[in-house]
Amino acid sequence: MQMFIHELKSNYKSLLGWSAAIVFFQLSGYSKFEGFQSAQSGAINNITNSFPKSLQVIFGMYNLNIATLIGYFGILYLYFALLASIYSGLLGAGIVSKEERDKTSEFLLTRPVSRNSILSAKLLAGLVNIFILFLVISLSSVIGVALVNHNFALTSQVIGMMWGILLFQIFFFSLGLLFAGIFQNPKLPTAIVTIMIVGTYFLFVLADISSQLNWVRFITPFKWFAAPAIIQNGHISYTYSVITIIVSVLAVVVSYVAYSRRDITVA
Amino acid sequence: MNFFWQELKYYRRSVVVWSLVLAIILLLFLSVYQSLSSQIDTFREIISRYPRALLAAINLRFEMFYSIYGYFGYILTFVWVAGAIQAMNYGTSVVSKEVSGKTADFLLSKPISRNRMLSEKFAAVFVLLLITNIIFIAVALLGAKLFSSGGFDVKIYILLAVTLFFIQLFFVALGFLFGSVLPKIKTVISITLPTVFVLFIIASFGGILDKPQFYYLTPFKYFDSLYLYQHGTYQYKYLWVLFGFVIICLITSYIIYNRKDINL
Repeated sequence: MQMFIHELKSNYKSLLGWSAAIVFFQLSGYSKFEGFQSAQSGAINNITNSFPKSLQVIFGMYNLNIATLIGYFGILYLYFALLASIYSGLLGAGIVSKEERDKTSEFLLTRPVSRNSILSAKLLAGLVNIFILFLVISLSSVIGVALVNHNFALTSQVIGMMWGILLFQIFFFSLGLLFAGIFQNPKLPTAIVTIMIVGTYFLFVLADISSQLNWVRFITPFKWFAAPAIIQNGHISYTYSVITIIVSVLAVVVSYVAYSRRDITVA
Repeated sequence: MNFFWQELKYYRRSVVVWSLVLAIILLLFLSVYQSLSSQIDTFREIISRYPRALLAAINLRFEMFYSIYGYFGYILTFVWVAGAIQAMNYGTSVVSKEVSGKTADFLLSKPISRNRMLSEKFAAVFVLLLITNIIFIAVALLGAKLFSSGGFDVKIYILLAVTLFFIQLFFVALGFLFGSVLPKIKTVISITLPTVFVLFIIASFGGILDKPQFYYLTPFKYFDSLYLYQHGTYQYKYLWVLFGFVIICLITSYIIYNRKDINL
């Protein structure tokens, strides 16, 4: 319990910072939509639909009807997913490896607590943090869309998309935890998880640009929970949700096993 | 010169990794250019039937997308973001890691002034960025040769590629300022990632800030590939602002670091 509270305390500042960034993004995100809407939205959508696929991807509007608010929100959704993934991945990697980085591992691991209970406290505190950020994103999205739309008609659709965000967070948080559990070098987990997030994001963009790279969609979560499919089906893909959860649980289990066996760097 | 060499050594692996990352981003995107350019011709026909005013409303610049410069300009925004993170990481960590790594007392008890130390550290990260950019420009030229169907204007292409260096200069200076001013930085990346992304978001979703007079706020607005393509040169007003910013950051870093109580 003590460790859990300590983790919450030591992470709340960065949580505040990221929340502020999200809110800031909400504030600035919708202005272009008003431009789209005022400039004869029907005509604009005709034009954008006639774009080659690659150009639509370049403008982030592939398969999205940007003249509708929910379609436009699909563009923002991708950025929220990216921000949320980075936050969660960094958190998962950092919350474990920081003891070795800050040379506090010796102090912590000589207490009469098992490594498993250390990891559990960190896991729980991390989950609380990513859930709070998830709430910030969801609430601000619901409010932002409602303000632009002047009513709450789109709320359920927005919330439907938010589950995708939560899965992104869980996925990359567990991966961060996994790498921190395995690797002794405290810098490695953060680096690997950042590269994975940015890499899968680039693969996602590329897969849309070029049809030859279609197979890529099976390996990048940005494609699993892409906005157009969620808007079309009204819910996120259940198959990929299950896959995400299974992979995440496995990652956490492996992290426990590895962390309880490996050498810990001490100052 | 000890500090200088020490820092070069410290970052040598990181420079290799980052150069690779930038090169891979570039080559991956360039490799699909051909499938893109084949779609462009039919698209050009369709689009020529639309009224100009409508096209302007969605802020499209078609002239650009016919050419490899246009596509390269598009890829560059991704490269900028990655490069900005690299540069800001270097700028921030090169100063702050002495405190976070608990080596500040060792370092500062040497008979060398803080000014000298800062100068050598900055020179080191500057050289690291130079190396990154030389590799990047070489890869970019090679990529264009490999993947562009027609010829291309090497001068404009290089001018575009060099924008990465200017963007990095901005962020290395900003990072240097953060590293010198903030009392203790535990994780560099938790400062640099949000900073870079916020500036990037301002640039792409400017909102109320999406007016030319606010473009000065974010370096991601300083370089416009369309302008470069049409005029064959940079917009100098932004370039001066950038240099001014860099100098102010550096001077402030020196002044503050010299008076700072170093956290041991």
